[in-house]
Amino acid sequence: MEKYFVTYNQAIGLKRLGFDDPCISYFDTCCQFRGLSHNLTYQILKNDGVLAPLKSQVFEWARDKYNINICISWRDDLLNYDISLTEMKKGGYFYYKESFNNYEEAESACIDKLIEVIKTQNS
Amino acid sequence: MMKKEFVNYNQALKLKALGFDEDCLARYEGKIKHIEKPLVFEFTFANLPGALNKVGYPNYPYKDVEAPTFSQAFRWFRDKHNLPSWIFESTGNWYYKIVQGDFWVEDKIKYKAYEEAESACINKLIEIVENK
Repeated sequence: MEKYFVTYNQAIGLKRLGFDDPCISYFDTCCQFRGLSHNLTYQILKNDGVLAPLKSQVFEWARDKYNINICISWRDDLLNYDISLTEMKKGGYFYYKESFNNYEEAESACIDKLIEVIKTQNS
Repeated sequence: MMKKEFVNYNQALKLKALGFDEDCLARYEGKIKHIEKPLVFEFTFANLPGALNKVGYPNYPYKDVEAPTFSQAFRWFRDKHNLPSWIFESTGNWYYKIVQGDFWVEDKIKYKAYEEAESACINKLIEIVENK
């Protein structure tokens, strides 16, 4: 089931951005994926790890907290995936890229770009 | 709070009927029994109609069923049935799109929330596979 969760580096990036929604998994101090438990937060983890959210949780967090929608769409003419990060209700693009050969690659690129966009917004 | 990551009970039942058989993080669970593998959530039916005080009775209306996350269900439709789909937003409304062969499947409903469009998309995917 690990494929549904962010990577360790992404988890670190999200932590730095203040992500603290309740999670069911975490990376321990040796960077090992751990879980599964109810409602983990940094208050519960203390300094013993980094929260590992589901990728879908991160997308939800981006929508709720930053008004950023992430869309991974299939291009049936090119037989690959496009990704876009847009500003909700306004439609402006933060990022758009095409030609991802598989969904997982596109999904991971979305998380990386999201972290970058929010970091820029916050600075 | 994380319950919204998972398909609802009826969707879980239909997915099972369609052959969905993957390990899940959650299960809709009607009665207490030995759990062979760790699950994060066990959604109970205590607050649903007809469930109260009837656990274990022959006419108990609910069945135990694995509960995939939405992303897991979407992946299954993509990989198993060649049905990519996505949710998108335009001017404050939410829509879904499904690629079925050379066609796009969509409805014209403007959903007010992402979760509504997501759930409608799963229902449509289930319908497509049921009618195959």
